[in-house]
Amino acid sequence: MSSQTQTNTRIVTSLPLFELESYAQNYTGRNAVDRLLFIADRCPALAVDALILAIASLKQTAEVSRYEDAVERLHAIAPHDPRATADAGWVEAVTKATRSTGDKLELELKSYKNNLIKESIRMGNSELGDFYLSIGDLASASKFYSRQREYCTTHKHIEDMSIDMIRVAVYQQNWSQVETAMSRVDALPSKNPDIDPYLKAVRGLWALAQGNFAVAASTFLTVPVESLTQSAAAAAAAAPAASSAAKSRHKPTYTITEFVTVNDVAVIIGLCSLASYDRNALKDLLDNNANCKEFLQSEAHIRTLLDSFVLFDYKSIFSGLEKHKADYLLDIWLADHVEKLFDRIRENCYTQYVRGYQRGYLDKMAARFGVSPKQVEKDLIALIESEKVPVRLDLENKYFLFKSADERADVYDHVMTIAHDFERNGRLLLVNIGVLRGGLEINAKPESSGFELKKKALM
Amino acid sequence: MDPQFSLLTVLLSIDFDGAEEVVADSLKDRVLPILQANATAVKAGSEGSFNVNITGVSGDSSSSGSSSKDGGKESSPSAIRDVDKSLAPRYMIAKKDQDDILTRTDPAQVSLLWVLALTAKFSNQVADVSEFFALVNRLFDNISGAQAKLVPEHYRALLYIIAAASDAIEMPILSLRPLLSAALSFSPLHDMLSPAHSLFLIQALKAKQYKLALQLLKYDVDKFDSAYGLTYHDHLRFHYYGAMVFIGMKQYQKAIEYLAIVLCAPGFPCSMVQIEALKKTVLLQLILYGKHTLKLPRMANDFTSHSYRAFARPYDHFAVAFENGDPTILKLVWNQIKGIFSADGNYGLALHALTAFRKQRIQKLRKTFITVTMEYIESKDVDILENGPSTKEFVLAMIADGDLRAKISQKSSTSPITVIFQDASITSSHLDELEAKLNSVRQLNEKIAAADREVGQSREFLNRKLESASTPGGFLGRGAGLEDLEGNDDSMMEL
Repeated sequence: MSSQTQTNTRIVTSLPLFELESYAQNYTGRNAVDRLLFIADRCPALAVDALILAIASLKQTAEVSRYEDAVERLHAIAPHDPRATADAGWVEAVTKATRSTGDKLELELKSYKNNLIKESIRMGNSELGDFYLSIGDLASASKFYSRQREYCTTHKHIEDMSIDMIRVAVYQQNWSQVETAMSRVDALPSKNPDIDPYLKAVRGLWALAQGNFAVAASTFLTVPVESLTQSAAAAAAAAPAASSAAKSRHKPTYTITEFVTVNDVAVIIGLCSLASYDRNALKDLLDNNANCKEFLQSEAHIRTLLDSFVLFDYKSIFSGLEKHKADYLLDIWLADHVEKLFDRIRENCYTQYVRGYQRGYLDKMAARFGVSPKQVEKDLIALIESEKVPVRLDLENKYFLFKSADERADVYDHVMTIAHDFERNGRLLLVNIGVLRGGLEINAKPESSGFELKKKALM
Repeated sequence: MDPQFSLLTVLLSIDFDGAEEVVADSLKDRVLPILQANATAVKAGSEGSFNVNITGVSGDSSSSGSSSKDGGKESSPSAIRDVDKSLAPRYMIAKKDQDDILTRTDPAQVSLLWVLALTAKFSNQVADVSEFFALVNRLFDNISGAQAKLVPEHYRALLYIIAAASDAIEMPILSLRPLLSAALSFSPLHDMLSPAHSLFLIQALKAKQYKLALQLLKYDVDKFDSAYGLTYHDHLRFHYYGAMVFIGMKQYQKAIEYLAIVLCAPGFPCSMVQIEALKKTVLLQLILYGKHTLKLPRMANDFTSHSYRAFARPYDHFAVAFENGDPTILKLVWNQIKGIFSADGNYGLALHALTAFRKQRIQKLRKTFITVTMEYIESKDVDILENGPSTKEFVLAMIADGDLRAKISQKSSTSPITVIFQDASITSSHLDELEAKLNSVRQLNEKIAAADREVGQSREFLNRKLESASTPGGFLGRGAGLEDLEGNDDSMMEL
């Protein structure tokens, strides 16, 4: 994934509010490494620390190639650091161990195939998928997981396979594959209720990746908070087990925390709902949605932002967002959408503000938003032109006026349009009836004249 | 020779040399009653008696080289210049009688004979143009459409001779008077398509007499009959050229309406006139509404709409760029395809579209602003061709033309100029307009109801209805089948 994100790297210059080490501790497994590498990509100031942490975590796994990559990158930016040289002994040992495991698994699969035992072939493919996932080869993992498909005999098998594929696809950020796998699970007549929150969270990430913020917010709101808080502890306990999955062939459990923590979800819900909900919907959310309240307990600043929105305190929303912007930009899921989210939130705030006025003055509005009147003017023009706010501007006296709806004029225009359409269609109908009855329809022989046609008709 | 015929001969003192001349029965049947009705008047008007010989001529010999193969070049009126030879006169009046008729009878009384005589005299060539137009005008100023309709072949031929004669001396304006009378005299309510309709419009376009053309176009045409030698060409051309006249008069709404009639003409396959019509429609829609939908009215058939897409692609590109609203893209597209516009003869209209683009950009500002500085408008204003008037002049012209409801104000001679947009308000004239519209809709409704009745009572419709009733798969048959099914269901329920 790090190579993917490198292509559209946007450097974050300001430092985030979080402390890297404790931040990394919130995450487990592959996601933790992904996040650290992501931060190393985006934030040069934290790159060294992030890489060192990533290398330490990677050494707990069997992902040799990623380990070597990380070491190489660290060497490039900090050549004198003792940790910037690869542990050749470890690499060799792990490579040897994984190769023998891989060979063994492939051999087993081959023999299953010769025996044509469906269930064993499926298991063999699944185990190979797990194995490749454990050494960080996502493409091969995805390949073997998908090969199970024709050997699945029960709904449970399809469910397991789909979940495996979803996980790999999310790691790869291959959202179209996530979508197919999710729809496959949805099509099953019954499914394990335990995986429901997991699927919902993935769906939320998917919606966020599509830039569909309203759906992302509403989907994440349906994920029960307990599924994140309880399993976090469980996952932390299971982490060592998961890391040695390749050796023990123990199927790792599915937890949402392998992608997001409860804090991340709170931030996503907060930003997405600010960007897409109107004030009433947001107020209802804050007052009546218990799940939402619980989420927001973990991220106080988001709660403040939402409260400010409800209380029309736009200035503090923007300052709050700016304060945490670096954090958002370094979040692996949010990063690419931050600018768009901020724009939408700004639009949403303008819309809320304007709605309250019949006539409002731009300088007051600017003061309220903490920006210059020129900026407000520019933003409002853009919003009006994209038909998002129903006002018009008076640039001479610097005020905006709520669109005066002259209903009589509207009705008049409407009636005239209907009458005109009716007339036109009626005329068309009459002419076409006349043409058909008179025998003047277009025919394939352009030379023949009306006289000959008539003669033929008489014969 | 039947008694009625000889009676007429006596009355008119017209001697048909029955032994040698073959008079076609059909002509006899059609011509007789009219001649009879006017017989006395003719006699009174004429000084002394004269003889008319009507000769039957085989029309086939001349129809072999039939013309009108101009399917692809509808837009060039020169194609029409060739007289449609398939319509060459089948009945000739002997040369010696032609002058008798033309000098000694009243065209109002015996229009039919005049048509025959004029066609006979001038069908080969028009030697003396002034004499020809004097005679033609005398005839058409007084013509009886009912009589002329009886000899449609001759009538049509005569109309083409008129057009050709005026073209020959490059004075199409000469033909307008007779052709307009011809078109208007064809039916009392002027709602029937005559052979003169499209011819008149072509000549009017050539002569640039748009106002005169409106004299004919103020009557909507919705009656057609192929018996008068009309084909779909006449129908399509009439409406297409009508649209061109409206474009010339800047009545774009009406032009679109006429073009829609062309686009929706029933039949198969699609005519080139229709494709030309589509091209113009695209540009007109852009001028009027700033956007264009390739969706044709429901009445157009699928095949036609497919052909349109294939033929009018550059126009579609232009429309997309236009709607997109980005001036640089529009300019790019314009430079690419302006050659196509001029090749199609739509260059002028396309230029109008570019002006409309500029106008619409300024008009759009009223949605955003109540007042705006001229400076701001200047920053938004784009003149694609870069040779139009300055923004200030352009805005002033728009306000003067009623394209922009706004006022310009300036606090002092040095302060910036501002434009104040004004809101529309309903006035009594709007209400009058509404009333008028309602009336016309009501009339149209009655017309449609009448047409519906007429179709419902027509032989074709009843035959069709009977056919579908007798075949098992037909509409009525299916209904009966459903009833059966329901009956079965009931009995099952009882069981």
